[in-house]
Amino acid sequence: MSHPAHIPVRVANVETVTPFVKTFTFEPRNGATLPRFSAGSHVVVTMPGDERPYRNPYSLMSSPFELDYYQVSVRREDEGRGGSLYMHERVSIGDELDISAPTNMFALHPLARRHLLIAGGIGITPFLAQLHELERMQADYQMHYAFRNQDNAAFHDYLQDHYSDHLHCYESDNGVTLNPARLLADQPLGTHLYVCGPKGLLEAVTDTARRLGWPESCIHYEEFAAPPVGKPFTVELAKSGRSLEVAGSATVLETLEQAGLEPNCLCRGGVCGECETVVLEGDIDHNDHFLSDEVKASNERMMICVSRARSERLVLDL
Amino acid sequence: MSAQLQINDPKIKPIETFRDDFTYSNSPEAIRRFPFPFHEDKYMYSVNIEPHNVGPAGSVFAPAFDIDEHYLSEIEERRRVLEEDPGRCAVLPHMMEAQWDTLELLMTSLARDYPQHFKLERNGDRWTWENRLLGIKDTFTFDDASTLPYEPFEYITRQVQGDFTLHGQRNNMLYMDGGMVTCQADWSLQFDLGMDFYEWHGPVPKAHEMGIFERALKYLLNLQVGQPVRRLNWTMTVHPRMDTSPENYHKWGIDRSQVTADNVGELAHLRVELQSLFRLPRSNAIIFSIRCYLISLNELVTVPKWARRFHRVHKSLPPELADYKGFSGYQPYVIDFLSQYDDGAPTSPGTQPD
Amino acid sequence: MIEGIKSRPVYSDLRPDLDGSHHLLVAEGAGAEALVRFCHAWDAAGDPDADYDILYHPDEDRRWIGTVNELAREAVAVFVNRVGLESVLARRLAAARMGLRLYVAGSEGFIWRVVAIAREAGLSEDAIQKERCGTQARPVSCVHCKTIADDVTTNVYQCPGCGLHVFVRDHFSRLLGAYQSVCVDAENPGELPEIEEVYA
Repeated sequence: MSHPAHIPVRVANVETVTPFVKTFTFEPRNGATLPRFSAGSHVVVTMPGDERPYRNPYSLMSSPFELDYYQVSVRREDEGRGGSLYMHERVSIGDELDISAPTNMFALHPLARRHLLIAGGIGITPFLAQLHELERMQADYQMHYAFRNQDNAAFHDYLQDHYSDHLHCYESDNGVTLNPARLLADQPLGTHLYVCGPKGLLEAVTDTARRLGWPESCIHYEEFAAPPVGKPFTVELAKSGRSLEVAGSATVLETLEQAGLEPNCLCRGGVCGECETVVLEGDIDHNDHFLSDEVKASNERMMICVSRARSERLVLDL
Repeated sequence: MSAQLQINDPKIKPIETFRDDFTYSNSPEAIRRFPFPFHEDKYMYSVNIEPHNVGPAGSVFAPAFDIDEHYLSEIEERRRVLEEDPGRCAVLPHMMEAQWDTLELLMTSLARDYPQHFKLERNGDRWTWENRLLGIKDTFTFDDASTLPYEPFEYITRQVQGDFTLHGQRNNMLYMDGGMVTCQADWSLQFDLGMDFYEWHGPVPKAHEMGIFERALKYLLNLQVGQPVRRLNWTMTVHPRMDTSPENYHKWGIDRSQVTADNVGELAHLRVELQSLFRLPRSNAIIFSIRCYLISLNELVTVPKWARRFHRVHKSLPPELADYKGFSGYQPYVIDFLSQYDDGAPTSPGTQPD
Repeated sequence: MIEGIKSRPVYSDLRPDLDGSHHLLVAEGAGAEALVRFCHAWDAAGDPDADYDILYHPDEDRRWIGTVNELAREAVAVFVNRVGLESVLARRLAAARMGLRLYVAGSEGFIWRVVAIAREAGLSEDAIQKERCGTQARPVSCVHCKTIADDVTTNVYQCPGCGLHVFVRDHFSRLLGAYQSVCVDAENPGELPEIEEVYA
């Protein structure tokens, strides 16, 4: 299970949603239907890059009840490592790609009495699938959507059309901002909070919730760590004695895969914990959301999908 | 390359009993495909999780859910247990989605693996399920429980061998959120309902200290749709008794004192659980299938390799484990009995009969 | 008997959790001891802006009533029976907001009754502190007939539901709020171990 099954898909549609966001529709290539999934799931999309394949996790935004196609939306990151640019510039209708089976790290809590969803910008995508589910459950929910301006407000009109009774929008260029303290101070018992969006918003909301005494079990967020670009370094594999160079724009995981190895991995965003690896020597630059601060400080384990080295070399127990 | 060629085509026996007169027995074919769990001539604890739904043609590992010659007997036994104690099937209210997931997984798997016995027709939400072994043909609306005679989980698990438990996943934890448990090895669904992973494993000795549950939980939290896994577990049971529940312990506990040197071959059974785990796609829950196989020592020793190896496993078993598994009282008879069949010859690798 | 069963609840002294934005204390009988300690700790470290409420049922142990009444006059409600306390608790919880901390003190039977009411109201267990005070008596569920015996003080008791002699295990269900008991003489009918007061 450490090597997720791959589903061959064809790009059935590409739609420009905002100047920065495109939506991709994937159909199964083998003619069958796609697996059902739970709202909040993501898939890892494999793109055949020139030097190496890109593999990025994207939230499924289509309805979980739709088995004929999946949809994901991709925000173009010009400063990123190239995956989102590849999706924007190189992928077009008819192209064939592989995606992983859906995995959920951001599920709705089945015991919640109320669901309070807070999205910033492109962080709206996992909520699009969850809104289908919440409607079907006839749940008590609110969707709070913060964005800079209409150019950054993907799916704003769609949300307005379908969920206007539950939707609250905050356009900061118009001086309308989300005030987490006001929102979170007056919620009934049993409310669960879900946040997805830029780091600033995510931290402001979750910090406020904790300050107001929200129990940790009621606070949920999804923040895939995009592996940062960094300086190159060497990884040595203690068991096989191999030595590999990790380029500035590649991750340890990708470098190992390029060398023909198959390390355990799943989300590729520092969330699921599957690629946790023991480090024997070297200084780790942690970028994941999985390991506890204590473990990070011990400098003994790393998530090779997103974390890098501060030192010139790392020795892994592989 | 149709999958069903890999699958056993069981000749289903008429109903036999797992209580009172205990008419249950294994045919020679059933003995040969028994999931003998020991790879070595000594006892070794291991979690030994491996991919499920793959295995040698005809073996219990090849199908998603194994149907064998005891199908009718086990379905009847389940019906009798539920008649006496309906609480053996219980699902918490927030698990309705997982109930439908279970129904879909079981129906599609059985119809694929055993097309001669089961058939599923889907017209949008209108589904028709045919179970020829039980003479059932029902048309219902998927996602509408009022169109079935039972809730979906109970409806389908009344038609499949083995116990099932349903585990919701939230806050990085798995919970015992439901189950159909009529052939359990001494644990109570009704009592354990709602417990988290560590709580329901609470009574298992030693494994907590060894960190086994932490690793197993992390592994299961990342279990993928379409990539089921399995492991084997084992114990001993007196008589071919499926329902060794704590609920009825006051009725069957006495069995343990009735084993003698003369009757041990007939009374003592190796009980093997084929435990498999599947991620359910819509609910993100996990279904745990606990498929129980029973074989008497008399039947087991018809395979000389197993007789030798089982003797050696018993001799090397830590006493606290025999205590926990509840057979320390009659284990000396078991060892004496098996020793007649152990000439000291080496055994071949693997678990298959020679 | 197996030691260290993980399902056995762990209780600890009530302590003001200043991360909370509202605080509700619920106690019965000897649970008053915990209230007194809590209030002293609150005065020492408390946030002057925050406040707490107390619901108290003296049960048979009436010697604490005076002490409890003096703790914080306006904030204390004393009940003549548990039912009264439970219905007020349910009403308070229905009106409560996220950020509430619930503190419970008393016998195990009382604690888990309160937890059940709180769960029903949507409060998650990580917002609840529990302190066992006074009796060690256990609520126990007979695995054979499901009858719950409220205040079991012995290692073995005769189940009032089915009449079997059952042994009290450490295995505990939070949903039932009870320990499990299992027939003690199933393998040797009539052979009972010595019955001892172990949960007095």
